[in-house]
This record gives sequence, C-alpha cells and structure tokens, in this order.
Amino acid sequence: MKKITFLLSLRRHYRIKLLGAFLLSVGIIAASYFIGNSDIPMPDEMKVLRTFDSFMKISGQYEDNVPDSILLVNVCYDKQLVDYSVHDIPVGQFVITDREKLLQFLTAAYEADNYRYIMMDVFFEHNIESPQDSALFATISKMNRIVIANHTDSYLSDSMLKQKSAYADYTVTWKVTKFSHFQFMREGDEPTMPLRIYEDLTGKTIKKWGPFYFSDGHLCKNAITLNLPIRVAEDYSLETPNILEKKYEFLGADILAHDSIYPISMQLQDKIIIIGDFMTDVHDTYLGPQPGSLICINAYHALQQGDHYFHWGWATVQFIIYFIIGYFLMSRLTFARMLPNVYLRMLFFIFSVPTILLIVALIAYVTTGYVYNMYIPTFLYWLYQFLMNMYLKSKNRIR
Amino acid sequence: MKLLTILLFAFCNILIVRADDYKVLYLNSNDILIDGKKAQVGATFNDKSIITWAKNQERQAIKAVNTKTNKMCVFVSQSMEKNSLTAYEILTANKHLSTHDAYQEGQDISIPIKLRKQFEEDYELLDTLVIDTKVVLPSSYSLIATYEYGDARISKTVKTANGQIIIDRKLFSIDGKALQPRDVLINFDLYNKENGMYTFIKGDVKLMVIPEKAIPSAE
Repeated sequence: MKKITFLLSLRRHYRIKLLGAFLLSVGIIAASYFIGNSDIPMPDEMKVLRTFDSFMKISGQYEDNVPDSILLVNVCYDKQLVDYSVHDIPVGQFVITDREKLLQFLTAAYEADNYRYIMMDVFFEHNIESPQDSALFATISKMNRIVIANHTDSYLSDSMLKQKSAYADYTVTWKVTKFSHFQFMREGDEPTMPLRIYEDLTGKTIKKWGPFYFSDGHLCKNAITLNLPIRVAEDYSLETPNILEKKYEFLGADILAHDSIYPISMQLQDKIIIIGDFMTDVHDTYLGPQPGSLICINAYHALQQGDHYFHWGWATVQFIIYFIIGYFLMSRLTFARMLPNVYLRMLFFIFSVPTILLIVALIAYVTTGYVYNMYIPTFLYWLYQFLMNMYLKSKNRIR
Repeated sequence: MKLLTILLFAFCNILIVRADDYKVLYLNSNDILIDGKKAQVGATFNDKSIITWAKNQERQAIKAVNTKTNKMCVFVSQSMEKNSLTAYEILTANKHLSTHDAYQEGQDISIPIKLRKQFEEDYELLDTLVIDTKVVLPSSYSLIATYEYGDARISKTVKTANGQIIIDRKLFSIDGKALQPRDVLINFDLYNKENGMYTFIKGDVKLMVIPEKAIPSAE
C-alpha cells in the first residue's frame, strides 16, 4: 500500500514538473514573439549576428553580394548648397543631395517607366528648399512604384510627398546602440519603406490583429533580427586582375553623364533602384558601417524571402529544446550530473544553457538564414532559477 | 560534312554567347589601344579583345558597360590582387591609435601597405642595393628616405623604377661631398606630389654601409 502511494505521489511530482516545463516553454515562445515584435532590439541580437557572420566567413560562405535585379545609385558626390535658416533667421548654407540631378534622373525614369521600383532614401526635410523643388515634387507625386524616405520625428517639405513616403527608421536603446532589429510597421500601422515596396510589388502586406500580426493569411512577425546578405564592403569587386566591376553607380558621374552612349532607360530596365548616400549615411551594424539604404533593401529582401513568417517548424524544435531544458531545471538536474565519466562531465559543464541555445540558433541560421532570439529564453531561465532559489531560501528560513 | 558544319556553327554560337561585350563610356588616357585601334568613347569590344596600355603612363583606366549584364566595370592597367582573408584576419582587426595616419580620400592605400611589407630585413650597401618590391609607384609618388648623420637629419628621394627601389651611395652624398656613415637607421615615407601629403611606410630600417676603402681590390 505504501509502495502504491509513493508511486502515485511520484507521478504527481513528475506531472507538475512536466506541466511546469510545458508552460515555461510556451511562455518563452510567446514572450519571444510579442517582445520581438516591438521596435526595441534585444541586447544579444548584435552579438548573435556577429558570431554567425564570423562562422560563415570562416566556413568560406562569405561574399559581397548585390543581386543583378538591384541597381544601387550612390549620390554621395552629387551635392548642392542651399540657404538655411534657424527660427526663420538665416544662418548660412547647408549641403543637400543635388535636386537638379535627382529631377533629371526621375524625369528620365518617369518617361522610360520600365523600372521595377525606385526606393529613394533621400529625405526632403521641411525648411530646406531649393529652386527645383516644385518640379521635383510634382514628378515624384505623379510617378508609380516609388517610395521616398520619411521619419517619425521630422516633417516633409511638401504635403504632396506624404502619399509617396514611408518610414526609414529603427530604434536603438541605451544598451544596444547599433542596428540589429528592424520593425516593418511603425507607429501602430504605418509602413516602413521595405514594407511599402513589398506591398506594391507583391500585393501582400502585414496586418495587425490584437497583439498578433498576419501576412497573406499566415501568422507573422512585425520585427526581425535583420540579417544583411546584400552587402557592399568595397566599391568594386575584382573579377580578374584587370577588371573591376562596380558595386554601385554614381548618379552624376555614371548614370547621367553617359546617358547619350548608354541611355538611362537601358540602365533602369527591370531593376529595383536604390538611391542613397553610401558614404555618409552609414550605420553601425554587425558587418561594420553599412549604408542606411542597404539596410532598407535587406529588410525588403527578408520580407520577400518570407523571413517575417512565424516558422512553425522551428517553433516546434525550439519548444522541444526549451521543454527539455525546463524539465532539467525544475528537476534540479544538469546534463553533466547524468554522466558517469568525470572528463565527460567537465566537457558538459561547458555546455551551459546559453551555449546549447547558441548551437541550435547557429544550426537554424546556417540551414534557413533564420535568426531567433536567445536573450528572452536565457533571461526567463535565469529568472526562474533566481525566484526558485529565493523561494527555497525563504522556505529553509521558516523551517 | 553537313553534321560537321552544324557542329562548327553551334560551337561558334556558344563562343559568341559566352563572350561578354563592352561599350566604352570613359577613358582617362587617349593613348589606349583596343585590338590595335585607338580606343574611343562609344566603341565596343569583347573580353577576347587585346587592350594595349600606353607606355610611360601609370594608372590608365577604361570605364565600360557590360552590354550583356548591364553592369559597369573598370578596366585598369595595373593588375590588382584579390584580398582573401585568413581566419585570424576575420576574427581580429587592426585599429590605429596614432595620429600618423595620412590617409586621404581616394588614395590607393594598397601602395603603402604593400611597400611596408618589403622592409623587414637588415640591408648591406656595398655598391648599389636593389630592393625588388613589385610595387610600381605612380608618377605622382616618390619615396623619401630620412636618416640621421651626426646632429643632422637628412632626407633624400630614393630612386624607384619598375617596382624596384634603388639605393646607392648618392643617398649619403650632400652637395657632392660623400658622407661616411656605418650603421644607419632609415625611415621611409611616401610623398604624394599632388596633395603634398606624406604617408609613413617603415621606420628604423637598418642599413650597414660597407666602406669603399675596405673593399679588397680585384687585381
């Protein structure tokens, strides 16, 4: 009789642990989804991306890559000076992107109308005016398949630009000061430039439903840890010792200057055109400084690849791993204790929970390019252990 | 015979399809020849064409567009090497803390870096010392050697030609008077005449100057 009672109590004991591990695992996946959808980057995202990138480089899988469908247009050497005022008092002159050249280029593009899309990462800020503004803004507003940059904390120069604009922003924190996390819809349901391109080119979008996001009828994420496969480390790639292929073209010196020999319409044929300043508009990423426009096009690339969809397969794998780790934690077991051999035990001490998660994340990254968050599970396991230790201490004190 | 003709035609077609055609957009020299003809803006050539670069002119280039891929590229007269990173270079990075960094936008940094690697040894100057660097200096650059002799600090331009640095006893001659140094520590700098900037190459290169009188006669 005593034996049966012991077995029943043992079963109940196991049941609690299994239920606890299950709830903890579901909680981690849910927390990763909801917190991950915010604009705030987690502290480990940059580190994880850097580790993965180093691994890819060492394994020889690193390369500069700009797909043929993309034409990068650098405006870093196409500048003009305009008068500038602060509180309506002239203070001098300000350097802006040459709007005359932009107008010339967009007029040619409008006439050709053979491009796939134009993403112009140039901000037309309120209070900065040039003589070409009215013609330039009128051209932009009548063009199809174009998006220009807007920011959540600034104003556009002309209200007619609003319908052609989308946000080109990301958030940093006191802890994470570099770019690693991209949110597709900001300020509620306002699209960013990558999402606008995705909407216009595929007809799909991201919709919010309560705390969940859906795209094309599938559960999806509104923000991701952004991998940057489209990257430009150098101006040229060396094809042979004497031939250098240009990674991007200069607006004035390459595209406009050779219009008579190599017409702009030919250069734009079926291309997604990215116009930006590749030299001064750079942001710290896991690859080092990268142009803001490239971050945007990588975010569009991620949407196109379906990286924003909730991966049920990987969620299941994650759930199993979290469940096993959770069960071990609740049973106060460690992987090392299960091994009889002292050397194997020492080896397994190295494999702490964050290391196991890192290895799994690395496998996910190498096989699918999917970067999943490890900060939230690690933090929640730590929190569980901390609360459990507190509880046990207080229990011992009462005894 | 018919089959052979078809095969030959198909082979020619494959060759035509594989060849990349280029259209010249810009030339920085008027003396470049493509297939023996003077290159001109708007002219076309393919990847089998022979480009003859003008002699005595450094850094010649042709900007062209690949008409098949619609990508712009630059053909350069000076061969360049592809940088392949080692695991150590991937995992570590060198950062400069000093202010002696005269890098200017547009400067070809590969020249000082390549030159720096050449001065690793000690040298002995008997008659003429030739250091083969394989780094051809553009005409706008000159190599300056600086050393101390007594209380004086002496800087002189070192002869360079065809990727070689030539050091002779003229380096130790002031106003026609020969100096008699023994062990000299030389600092090398690269001088860019266009912008008047100096780029530090290598310091404290040891040069042992063998006295002329000590050379035993061949007679």
